[in-house]
Amino acid sequence: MRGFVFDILVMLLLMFMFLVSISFASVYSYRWISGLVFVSSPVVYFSDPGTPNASVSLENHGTKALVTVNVPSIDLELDKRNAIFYDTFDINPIDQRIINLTCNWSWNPTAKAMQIAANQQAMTYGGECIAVADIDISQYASARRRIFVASLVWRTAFTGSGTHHFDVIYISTELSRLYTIGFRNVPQTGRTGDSITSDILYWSTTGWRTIASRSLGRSTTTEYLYLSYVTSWIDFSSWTAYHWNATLLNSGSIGSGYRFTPNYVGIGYRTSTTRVSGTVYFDNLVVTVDAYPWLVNVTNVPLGWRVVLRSAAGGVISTAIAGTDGVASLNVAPPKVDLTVYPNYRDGFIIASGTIEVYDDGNNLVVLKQFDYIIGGDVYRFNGFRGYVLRIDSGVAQPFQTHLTLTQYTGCSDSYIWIYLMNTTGILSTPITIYRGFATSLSTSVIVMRRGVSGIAGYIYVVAYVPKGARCSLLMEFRYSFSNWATYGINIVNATFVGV
Amino acid sequence: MKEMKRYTTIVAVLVISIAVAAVNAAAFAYRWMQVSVEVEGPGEARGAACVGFYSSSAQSGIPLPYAGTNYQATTYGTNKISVTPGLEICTWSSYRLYESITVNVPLTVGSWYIKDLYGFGYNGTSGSTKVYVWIKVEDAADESGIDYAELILYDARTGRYVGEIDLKTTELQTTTPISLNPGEALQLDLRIRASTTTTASFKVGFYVGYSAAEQPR
Repeated sequence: MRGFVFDILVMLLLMFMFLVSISFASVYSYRWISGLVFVSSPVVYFSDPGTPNASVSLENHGTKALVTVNVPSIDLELDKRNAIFYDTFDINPIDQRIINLTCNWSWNPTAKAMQIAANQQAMTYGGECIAVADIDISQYASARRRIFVASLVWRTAFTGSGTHHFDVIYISTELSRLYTIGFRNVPQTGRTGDSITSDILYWSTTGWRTIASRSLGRSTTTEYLYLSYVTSWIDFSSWTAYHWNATLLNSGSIGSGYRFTPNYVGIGYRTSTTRVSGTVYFDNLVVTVDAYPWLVNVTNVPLGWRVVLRSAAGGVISTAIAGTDGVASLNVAPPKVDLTVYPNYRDGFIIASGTIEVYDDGNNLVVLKQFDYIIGGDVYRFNGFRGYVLRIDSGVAQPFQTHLTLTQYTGCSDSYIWIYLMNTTGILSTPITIYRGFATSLSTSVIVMRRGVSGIAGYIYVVAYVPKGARCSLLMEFRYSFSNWATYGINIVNATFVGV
Repeated sequence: MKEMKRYTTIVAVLVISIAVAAVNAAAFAYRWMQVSVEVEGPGEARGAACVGFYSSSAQSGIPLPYAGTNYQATTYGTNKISVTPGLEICTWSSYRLYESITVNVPLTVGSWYIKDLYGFGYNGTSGSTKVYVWIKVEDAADESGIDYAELILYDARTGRYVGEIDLKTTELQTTTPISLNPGEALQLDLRIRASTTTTASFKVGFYVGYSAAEQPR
């Protein structure tokens, strides 16, 4: 009986399993999608913007771009020297590069500087002792440009009284006329400062005329055995003269009756008395046109990066941070230096065997380069590439949203690359960033593009700094949407940056 | 006696011939199958029968996860996607699920992504159990110029990636089925790249059953 019941249970179980398999295994409700895709010619596609150093090849109706950019490899190069004359006076310049016009100027081989005895007075030019750079500057004045003159100046202690002028000068040797710009110094006892005045004067062959004069009170600027300097410029377009020392000290308009075209510039000293003893020194004479001689500019530097200027001995002379214009301006006017402590300090306006260093905003040294002479007014270029690598065209009037995404990169060691989208109104996205060889931002922000003139809707803009020999390859997707990203098209950008 | 033997042989041959003819020409074994199909209306659909296509945008308030929001989206210029639903196979309240959708997609040369084209969901009722969805490409988008075409599936409730279907290959695409609990749904995305102007078509079947083990043919 028990065996019979067991058999019945087994049969019922088998029947149940059979029924389950029948009802669950073989019955499906059937659903389906029928799709039809119509593919037309692209309406958003790439073109070659024709940028130098960037070669573009296009595939698939301009929906895929292969871009190769030859990037001038990371380096510093002198881009422009605005100094038309400079001399450290390390070698006797007299009758070689300096012309003594009045008084007995000499060259001091120990100080390696031009010097003049403090009691000397010239028989001409209103008593001004004058030594000029052997270069005719009349062409620049006639062309109504700005001519800058800068020189270091210092003196020993004077015995006796009187008034002393430490000047730079603009002179016409043909017309015997003269502008002097500098400090009028009335020495006071001790090294606690003298009474000084900023004077801009005109010598008219018959007498001195004041263009501008400004009392600066008591100052150690021209105190004995302090390194100082005189810096000036005359704008021959507006006929305005300026005196500068760390800040603009004084300026004055040159009246029509005082105007002449100088043919030389140089250094000047004038004293009110011959009953004085001491020596005045001038050094590092620099003449520039249309450029401040107290600034050295380094261009094409990424925003926020730091540029450091060092002396031959390695001391930091100046530091500057690059702004949005990519320029870091290094101040090469010297600080006020106590020559009793640093008797040989001469690093002003001319930095012999100086070094320029560029650091990224993570304080990593990117490049270091030494130059024979770094001269005030110089412009150095931090080598890299800036420009459009692709143009984005549109065949339809409707605006569309865009962004660029990095999907792959190789070989970018020590490279810095920023890739932006830009529309025709100048709106710039945030960038894709390769920083020291690593991607730190994988996508741009979204910007809106719209077809403009000639079908141009925007550009892919790149700033790249690549070491020599490096070959950084980036695979990117350019995405665009007419529907707020419900749907989007993808064009492919394969870009290679080669350090050359 | 000899003649008798010859007649016997003739008669035997005739009898065998008649017997063979009778067997080959006129004898049938008769079997039968009687099928009764009862078709209920869509309002009565339950379980796997209540799994189908829908758009939350087209049916505001439908009690299924948000899906199918871009069924009329612009692809380029003024060109829009169009989706035409087929037969209503499950209805309740004012909501409905569709048996099929016919999709027209205008694109241009290059790669395209269409996000959340339509929803595929399961309206559960009391006693509803988990169902399994097998997906099979029945007409491949294998036209020249189509570099790739994929249907990409996301969990409409969680946004989790579920899988993708190669629309260029005609075969069963899911080696293990996608499970759907009552109230769950999928978002359907499309990814296509064309290297030239062309027209391409595809058909994808969704087989919904209760077994995770047995594949549809």
